[in-house]
Amino acid sequence: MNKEEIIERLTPIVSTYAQNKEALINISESTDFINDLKINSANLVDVVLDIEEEFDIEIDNTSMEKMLNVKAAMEVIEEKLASQ
Amino acid sequence: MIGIDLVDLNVAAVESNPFRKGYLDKVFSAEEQTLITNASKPHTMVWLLWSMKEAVYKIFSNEMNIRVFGPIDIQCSITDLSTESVKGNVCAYNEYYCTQTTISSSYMYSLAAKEKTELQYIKVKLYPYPSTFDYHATAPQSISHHGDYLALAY
Repeated sequence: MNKEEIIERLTPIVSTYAQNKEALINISESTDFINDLKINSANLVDVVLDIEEEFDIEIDNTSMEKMLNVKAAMEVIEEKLASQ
Repeated sequence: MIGIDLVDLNVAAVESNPFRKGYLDKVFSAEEQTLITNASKPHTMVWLLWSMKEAVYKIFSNEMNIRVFGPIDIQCSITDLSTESVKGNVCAYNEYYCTQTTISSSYMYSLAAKEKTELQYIKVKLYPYPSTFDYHATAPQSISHHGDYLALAY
């Protein structure tokens, strides 16, 4: 799965919880879940759970700690897919 | 250094379902999950523990200048529990903190500090959110907003 496919499947997940919908238009690797998309921290858990379901991967707590922006989330997804 | 975290309980009830599959395991230790299971109001216990963790997170993320999303690394215990006020101890990355939570029917907020004595000197002001006044100019030590509420701690 290439980066474009990952971001394409990630975007609808974060869109569900983003309170700043305008920031979704310009979503990129540097988009921050909390500062840019205004996803509240309780919903960040939902983002992680939805990613697990969408990509059929398991995200451990150490990986979850980093998942505060698109780039870090993509890296975790790539790493978990590669180790399967 | 102090931390405050407010949860708008009406908004939380709509925005989040902490009882979806897998959610509690990502956020709460086995001991914390026992507190939730045994609570007369499990949802209230979820947001109580959550706000304790967030209030403490604000202190150490500021002091250590780090950003992490590791709610399970912040461990809560409750020392005094009543309907409207809860005292607790929190351990995060080998540091200990004290918390005090005020609970109403529509919101709750937790205050956190390193020393228990610091908690009694904290003054909290609640405002509707979004707010039109320049609250940053009043130099609050910690800020939290969720749903319809803004909480400032001085």
